[in-house]
Amino acid sequence: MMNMANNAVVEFMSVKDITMNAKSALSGLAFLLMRPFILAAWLTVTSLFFAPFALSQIEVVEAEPAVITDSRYPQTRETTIVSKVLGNSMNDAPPPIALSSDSGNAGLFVQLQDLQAEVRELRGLLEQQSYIIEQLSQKRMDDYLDLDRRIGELTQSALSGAPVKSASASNQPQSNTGGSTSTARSYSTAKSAVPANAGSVSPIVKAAVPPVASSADVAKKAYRAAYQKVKDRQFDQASVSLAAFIKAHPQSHYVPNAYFWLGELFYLESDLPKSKQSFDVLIKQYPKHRKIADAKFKLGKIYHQLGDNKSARSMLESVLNDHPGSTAANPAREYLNNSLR
Amino acid sequence: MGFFKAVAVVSAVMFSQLVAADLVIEVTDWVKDPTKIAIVPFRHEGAAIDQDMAAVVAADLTRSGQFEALPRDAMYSSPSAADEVHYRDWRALGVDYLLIGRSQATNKSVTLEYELFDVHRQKSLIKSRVGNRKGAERAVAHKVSDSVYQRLTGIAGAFSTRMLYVSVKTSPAKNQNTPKQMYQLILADADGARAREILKSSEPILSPSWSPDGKQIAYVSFESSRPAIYRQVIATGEREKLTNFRGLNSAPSWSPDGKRLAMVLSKDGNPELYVMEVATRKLQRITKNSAIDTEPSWMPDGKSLIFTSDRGGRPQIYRVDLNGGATKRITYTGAYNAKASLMADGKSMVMVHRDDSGYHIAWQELATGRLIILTGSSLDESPSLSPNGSMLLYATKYQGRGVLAAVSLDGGVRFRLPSPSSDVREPAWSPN
Repeated sequence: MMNMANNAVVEFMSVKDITMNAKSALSGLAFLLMRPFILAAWLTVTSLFFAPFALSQIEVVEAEPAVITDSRYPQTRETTIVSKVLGNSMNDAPPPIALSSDSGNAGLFVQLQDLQAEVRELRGLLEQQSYIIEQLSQKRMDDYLDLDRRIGELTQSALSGAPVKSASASNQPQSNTGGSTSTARSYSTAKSAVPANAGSVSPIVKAAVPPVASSADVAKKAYRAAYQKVKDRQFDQASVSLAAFIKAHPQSHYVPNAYFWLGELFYLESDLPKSKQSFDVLIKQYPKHRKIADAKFKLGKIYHQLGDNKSARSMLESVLNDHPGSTAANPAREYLNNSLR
Repeated sequence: MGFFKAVAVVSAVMFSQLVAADLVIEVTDWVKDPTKIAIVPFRHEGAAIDQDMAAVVAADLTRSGQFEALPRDAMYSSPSAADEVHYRDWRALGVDYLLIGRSQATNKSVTLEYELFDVHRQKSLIKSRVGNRKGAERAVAHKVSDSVYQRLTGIAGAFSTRMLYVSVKTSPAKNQNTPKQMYQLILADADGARAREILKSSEPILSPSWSPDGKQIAYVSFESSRPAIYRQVIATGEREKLTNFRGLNSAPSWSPDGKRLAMVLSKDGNPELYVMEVATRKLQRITKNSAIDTEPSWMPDGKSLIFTSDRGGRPQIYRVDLNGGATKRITYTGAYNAKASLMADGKSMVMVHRDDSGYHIAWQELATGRLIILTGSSLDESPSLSPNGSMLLYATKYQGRGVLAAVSLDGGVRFRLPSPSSDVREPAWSPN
């Protein structure tokens, strides 16, 4: 008997709730946008509960696309009844919301509905934003690859004749032109060989360049061509050629020289970060090279100009301590005494 | 409770019963430059037949929107064998292809020999023969249309296929009572002809869905005054109630292997997706969410479903993996996307999409999210793809009445199938 009484209350509640739904359907934008959902749901609910009325309502049901039935409300009714009749055999059924004549509970129920609606709205926003982020990162990568490809083509035409064989083309996910090379990528590739800097390398350019055994003659010729541009003071072309050379002949013993000249060229252009990067690679990868002292001196100056006096001092002191007889020792001492006071 | 018990009148009908009015097709948009074909009336011998098979073929090809059939009164001659064909005459008429044939009928069977010619190259493209039992002349003609269409376009024809739809007749109100509705589930040829009723009820019938072998259907019927999912064998009319849970039982969709049905049940709270193994009726719950999850459609591999959910505040299409339940939203264009169904390759889908001008049928590529709106009317719903994937049927409103319409996936061809006496909706194109 208690059950029946409860059900009667539930029926009453359903009428009230449906009216509420209808009201919010008129006022709330979200509900308006879901018009077919709500109307179909509402009508189905009506037809489920009030068979006699349903007969007259079906005509409207048919105007709606489907089958979709809500609703937040009847579910609680179903749940209560299912759990009563079937002993709630489904493990994953949500816990039945107990409805009683207590108006406090009814208020709670309305609040729950509002919360659910808000959660849905937030979820929708979250979905939209993750999608936009996904799109943006994809676009960023596409743009980068496109730029990279174009720089590669430019580099190749600038080299005009110097044989370039890109080993990393096969690692590219995008369809790059066969033997593309690029300043940007060769830099990062060089960087990625330096453990200290590895973290800052973007995943795309991290693709390691497998060593290519190119004939020493070809490498020498390419380096000479690039060095000639330095001597001819064609600095822009020279830096492009040097980068391409490093890319194409990573095993050549001219590579440290190329890094040195690249560092010098970028220093001339006041591109301090790039210059620093080149000298860094040279110092860390080729610590025995004869240009190390000069490179350390330049790097010390760069640190100073970048405002890092501590690093500048240690770099210059390293020139004095490790390479006391080098041509860079005197200028380094002077610099330490005069500029780095 | 239960003062009035609505008496549902239901009858499942053997499929030979022809009680529904045929739909009439009106082609509304053609491709820009349709191929011109002449279909000469077939010469007939033997027992009389009541179908003009050449006219059926001509209507089929015209309806595809890619062909224009030469009117019969423009023809100079009526050849029925290769040696009677004078190419020059047909070329003069501007015809690209020519179809001729001879039919023979006995009391039991009908056969049609036909031949297709390329008028410009003056050569025969197809020479073949089709047979069937007497009375199945339309089926014979559709087979011919299929083979001509395939030969000339490279795409399998879909003229021999069938469709299901729901027809609603409203009888005028008597003695101030509310008007009475009569719902019919209709099976018809893809051209709208040979419409026959396979279920009749005074309560709503919804969501007809084909089994992949085309022999069974599933649908929702309210005949027991609340929705239940039924399965019915088309040839015998034999039917079975699959679900009768409290609350909602809706949107059945047959799995590609034909062994399972995806459906929506609200027995555990609110509408959620379930998959039922048809043989054992074992249920697997797929979604668990306080929002509405509905309208499941299978990925061709049978491993995941796409469905409509308002879990993000607005109805959008999501995809759920059946093993593991990982769910991903796949539509982001517009504030309303629903009732999606996948193309056979699983790479794109069609769905109902709402924009500023109303509800349209749209096509979306899954990998890129690229969306193309295919229909221009504003109350379009229930898209259903043809088995060859080149066209889709949908329900819309035309002159205040529910009609079926079709559009080719390239948007170039459209036709309407208005019903003379009822509202029709929820089309489902057969899989074969």
